[in-house]
Amino acid sequence: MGAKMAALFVVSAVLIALFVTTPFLEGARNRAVGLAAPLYHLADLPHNLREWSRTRLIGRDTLIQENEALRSELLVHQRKLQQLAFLAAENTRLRQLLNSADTLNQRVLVADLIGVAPDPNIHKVFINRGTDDGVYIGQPVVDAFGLIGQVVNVSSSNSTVLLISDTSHAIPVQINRNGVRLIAEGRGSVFELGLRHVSSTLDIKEGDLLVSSGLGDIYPAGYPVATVDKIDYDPGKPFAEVVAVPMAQLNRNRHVLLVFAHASKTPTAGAKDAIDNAGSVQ
Amino acid sequence: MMHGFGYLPWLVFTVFVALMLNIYPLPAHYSWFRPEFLALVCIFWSLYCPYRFGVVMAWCVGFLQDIVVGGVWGAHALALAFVAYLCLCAYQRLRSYRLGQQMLWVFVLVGIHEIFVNWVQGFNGYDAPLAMIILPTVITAFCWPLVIGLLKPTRSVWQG
Repeated sequence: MGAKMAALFVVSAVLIALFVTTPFLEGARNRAVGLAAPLYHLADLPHNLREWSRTRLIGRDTLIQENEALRSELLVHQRKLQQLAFLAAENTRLRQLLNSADTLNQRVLVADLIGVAPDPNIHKVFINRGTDDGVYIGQPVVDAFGLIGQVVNVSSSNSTVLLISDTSHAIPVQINRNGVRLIAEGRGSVFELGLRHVSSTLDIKEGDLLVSSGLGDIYPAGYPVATVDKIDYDPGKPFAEVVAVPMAQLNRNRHVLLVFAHASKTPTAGAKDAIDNAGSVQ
Repeated sequence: MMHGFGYLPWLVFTVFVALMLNIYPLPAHYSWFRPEFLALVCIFWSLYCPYRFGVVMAWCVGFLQDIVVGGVWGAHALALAFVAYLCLCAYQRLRSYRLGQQMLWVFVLVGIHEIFVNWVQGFNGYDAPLAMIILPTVITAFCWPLVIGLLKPTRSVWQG
């Protein structure tokens, strides 16, 4: 038995080394996402049943109330959209003046969350879209409030999303107010991001909005990422300690949006019906 | 006394249930308190069915967990195989202990399991604070009577 254990040690060491240092297991990992998905669906069943009963066994009065609330909310958003159309047109004209490409037109695809990585250190979620829907590795994922993360593994009908709060994740951002570029890195908590290399003389204030800068070629520019929460200048240290709070609701989403940032990677015909043209306001 | 594969459906069933409990969605704050059910199940099988449940099987169970939870492959496999090895080395002694003493042992074994898992996950840049290694270990140890209470009575069925 001791010999068996020693052999297993060697096998594990080789497996871990291959996993951590080489992309050799990438294909197997993508397939594993598809294998694990049914288990997550099953684990999610109690919640789905609750959700089902909540929507099916709802009273008529509540439904009417909810409908009215949604209608007034829609009105508010439509009013904002009227201005947006004007702003988008103006933005296009200004971009033409500057001779830069029009980047506003991005398609999105709605996906449902089917599971969350059980280890609290690992900030990954599993969603119900895969290569069949045109999802690709490195695809940005957003919710209604801001950026969530990027796709890291994808099988035929499921994929894994690495959240921006994961300790192995960093995202290039800029301050919306003055355009200063920074890097926001995950710290293993869904409620905070750290900003790297903020010099003490930098113009940054609490409450500043950080948007994705588009550098790094993964995330499209202009999506809200976080707001600056706390700035701690220590004269003894070369950089200030800055903490930002993610805009996206990283721990309470059921639905997320996959953004097709690159025009070349269009989704397949089967997914077309679920795709909403986000740039249609032009 | 050990013939046939009557234990196998029970093993598959307990591993499946433990795996589901390990991935059942919990709010972010509570997931730190999640007990390691799969480790408990592995300890149970290597203590009470040592002729059938070996280190290779424990490794396979751990590998299954690795695939499902999406961490570094080999982390749980190595940890569970090592815990099973320790149990198999001392199962006669451990079985004769009182429940409280067994819980202390389970605490140590699961602690070793957690240290192995965190060490391997550390290669990929994840590190849990020390308190968050000890806390789930304590909670897991307190779940041991539950596992024993539920699984020990089934022995008469599968030990044929």
